[in-house]
Amino acid sequence: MSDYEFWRGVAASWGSLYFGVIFFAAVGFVLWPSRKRFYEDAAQIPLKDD
Amino acid sequence: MIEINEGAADNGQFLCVCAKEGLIVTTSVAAKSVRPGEMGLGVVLLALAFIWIYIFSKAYTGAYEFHAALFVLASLTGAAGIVWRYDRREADTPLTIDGRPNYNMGPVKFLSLASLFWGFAGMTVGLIIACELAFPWLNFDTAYINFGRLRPLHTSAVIFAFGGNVLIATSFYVVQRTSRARLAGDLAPWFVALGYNFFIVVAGTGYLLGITRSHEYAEPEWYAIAFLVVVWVTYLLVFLGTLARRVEPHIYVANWFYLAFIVTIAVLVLGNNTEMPVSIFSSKSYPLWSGVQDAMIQWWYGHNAVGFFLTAGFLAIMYYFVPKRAERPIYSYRLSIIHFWALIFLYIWAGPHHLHYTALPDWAQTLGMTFSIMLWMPSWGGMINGLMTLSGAWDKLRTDPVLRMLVVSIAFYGMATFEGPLMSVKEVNSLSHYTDWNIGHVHSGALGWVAFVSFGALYCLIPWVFNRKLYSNLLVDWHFWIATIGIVFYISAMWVAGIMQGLMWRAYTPEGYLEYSFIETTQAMHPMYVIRALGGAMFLAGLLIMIFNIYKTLASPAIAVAPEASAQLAPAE
Repeated sequence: MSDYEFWRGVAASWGSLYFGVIFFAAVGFVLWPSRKRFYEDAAQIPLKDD
Repeated sequence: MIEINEGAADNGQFLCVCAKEGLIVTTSVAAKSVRPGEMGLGVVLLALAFIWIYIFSKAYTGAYEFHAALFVLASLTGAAGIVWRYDRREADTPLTIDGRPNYNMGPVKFLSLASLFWGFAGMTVGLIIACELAFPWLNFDTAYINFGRLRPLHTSAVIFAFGGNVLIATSFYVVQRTSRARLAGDLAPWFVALGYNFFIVVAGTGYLLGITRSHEYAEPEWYAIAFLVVVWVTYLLVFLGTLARRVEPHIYVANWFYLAFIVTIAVLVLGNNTEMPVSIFSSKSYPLWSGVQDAMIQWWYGHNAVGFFLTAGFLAIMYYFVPKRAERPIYSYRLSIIHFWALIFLYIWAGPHHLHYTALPDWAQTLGMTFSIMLWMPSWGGMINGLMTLSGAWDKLRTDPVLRMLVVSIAFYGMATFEGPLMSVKEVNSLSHYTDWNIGHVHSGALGWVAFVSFGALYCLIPWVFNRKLYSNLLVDWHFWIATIGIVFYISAMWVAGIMQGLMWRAYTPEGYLEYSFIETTQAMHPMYVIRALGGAMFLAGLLIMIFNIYKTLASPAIAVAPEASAQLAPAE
């Protein structure tokens, strides 16, 4: 198996899974119910006048 | 620069008053000394001038001599500028005044006006080449203004010069306001602002003189790119340095998008410019790889320039200016973060859809197509997030033409990001590829989304930073409608032209011969080319109205107290 075939295989299997897990972990973190308040406050940042 | 003069005048007045009252002022004015940055950059610029004088003396071609001369001139002007600024600046620059951030808006002012200049230049060149396509004799048989040289001048001027100046201007503004901290760096922000514009001048004049790498959207040669990399890394450091001194604990999502834009563009430019110059005395360079590898790297670069320059950067504008203008928080902050990560994870793989049915491995083509289709979700999520911010305040669209411009830009974002994945499907691509449908698609994104969101942001930003009231809302209305109708002319003409062209190319006679010669397809598209030029002329007319409106705005007296700008009445740098 050539290097090309090997890395193409990794990209199509474990690589995709790795990125998928990170992405869905990030989404889960953002949607975690107890963090709702934090994001509501963050949304106000541009509107706070200084 | 206006700030500097105002500051100097204030300072002088203050001293006069003190002198009249017989006070001796010693403690309030600290002794001015040359900062290490001023000394360092001055020495570097002088050294650069000498290096370029040497290159000038041995340059292979006249065109490269011209660029060497430009570099010498710019380096010496930069060094003189440091001295000029030293004479006018105050001894030290406080980060805060009376507990409020001492914002640095000088570079923002320069960049926002520069963007209008480049918008005018780039769109004018666009109109010229649209007319050349409809009436080819308009190139007057001269090399300098033929389509092949003017086309990269148009694309670079509107994308990198107009769009780039808008992005740097708004990013410098937004990162300061949402961090509630002064821009990091003393000379660095000015180096970024002026250096970036100098890069544009080198790139643009190069195209006219025939200096090009012949890679779409990546035409500038090695020495221009080397200089750009220095400017861009400085930009990144200024941005990160400002975030590092923020008072606001959370980094607002617009800054995430700006940061993704800055970092990714750096990676893309370095990746796509792995090249070896023939000599330092030559403008010509060759890439380290060739053939299909070069094509893949080029479209990895090209598509992510769309994804991170024309999308992520302008989404940052959307996430700040739409809530600010509508005076409502973004519809869902959580959706904006998911939007962000989904774009980051998906966009980077979509490039191969530019190389369907080529020597690129089939799996890579399919990968590019699949990820393009998945991009529908974050794109539409982002569009819904922007549009729904208006929920409960839709009436503002009737009264505020600037907000209308911003909202219509989001609608065009949705439209262009629907069309893109559609065209990336192989079966659709077999019809659309290499036709004017592509040009129509690009312009619905570039005119409808990028330019409109930029106009909307500039209509907000320029009055804020110059502390003026916008001269006329009616003129914004005119700009909006003329430009919108212009876009409709443009994209509908290109849809018709492109699909017709694609169908004519694949039409066979019953005997199995191609039905049309290439020149017949070109002749058939002539009416659509004329309509496209008309649409472009209208879009340019809209911009001229905007420039007049902004000119009248700046010519009007400053307003006494503006809630937006009160904290920006900062003394000199």
